[in-house]
Amino acid sequence: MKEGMAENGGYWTYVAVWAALIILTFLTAALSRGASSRVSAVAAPSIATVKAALIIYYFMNIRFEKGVLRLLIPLTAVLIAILITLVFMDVAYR
Amino acid sequence: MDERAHGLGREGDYAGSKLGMWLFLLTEVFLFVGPLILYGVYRYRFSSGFAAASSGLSLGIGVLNTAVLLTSSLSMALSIAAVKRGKSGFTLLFLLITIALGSLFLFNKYFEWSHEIASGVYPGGEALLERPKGEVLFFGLYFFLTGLHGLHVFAGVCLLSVMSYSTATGGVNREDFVRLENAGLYWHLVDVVWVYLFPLFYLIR
Repeated sequence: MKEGMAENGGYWTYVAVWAALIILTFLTAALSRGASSRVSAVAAPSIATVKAALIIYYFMNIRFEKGVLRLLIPLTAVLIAILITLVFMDVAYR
Repeated sequence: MDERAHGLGREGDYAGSKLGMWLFLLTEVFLFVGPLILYGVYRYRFSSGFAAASSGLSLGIGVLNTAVLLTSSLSMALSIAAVKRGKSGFTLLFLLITIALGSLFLFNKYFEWSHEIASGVYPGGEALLERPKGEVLFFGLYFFLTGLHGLHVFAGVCLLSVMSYSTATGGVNREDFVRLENAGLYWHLVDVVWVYLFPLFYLIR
């Protein structure tokens, strides 16, 4: 049996991750109404990234993967960061 | 587990089909990243118009739909945890819950869109075109991105319906579940996309 195929997450781990995701959703919604627009503009995408990371690591079971699959996601994140940075350099300093 | 049932060929298939699914999902990510960069540029240029347009969306429905989709991701993950334990009854139950929640998401989205379209807010709508340029751009991106995402949710619901059939008839089981796992990965990706769309459209101040 290949590594990764047998590994399985406990039911309650998934429930705990789900609870964290729901709490973060309410937190980000509350911040958007309570905090200043400057705080919210930074907090909203940061919280979204934490939520995305939780989904990818736990729900998509990247925690059980090894090798190339584990590298693909940070690699994609770096590519997206480069793409965004270059576009915004162009937009901001033109 | 029986070694013969998992000969080299089978294991190779398992790793290969998962890698293939991930590569497909990453191309999907770039499908959404393109318009989101466009969103970033326009939000930077028309920040007041974007904030005004965003305040017209219902935060309540946005939070509700986010919770619905996150919960559907939980039931999807539980379904896969169940199939690996050989509990096909639970697998099917959790799959049906996922399908129901995905359909509820689309139902809410339908009401939200209907409400906006009825008040003349849709791409090219007369009421929208009278508004400032930033709001017109916001709603153009809103309808495009939530529409594209909605199509993905719909495709996911169809895919999971096929998986339910396979689970019920024994095609997906403890020994052979990579199709269900890949369908689950697709479902979670659709959830990840919404995790970004929600704050970008509903939470601008």
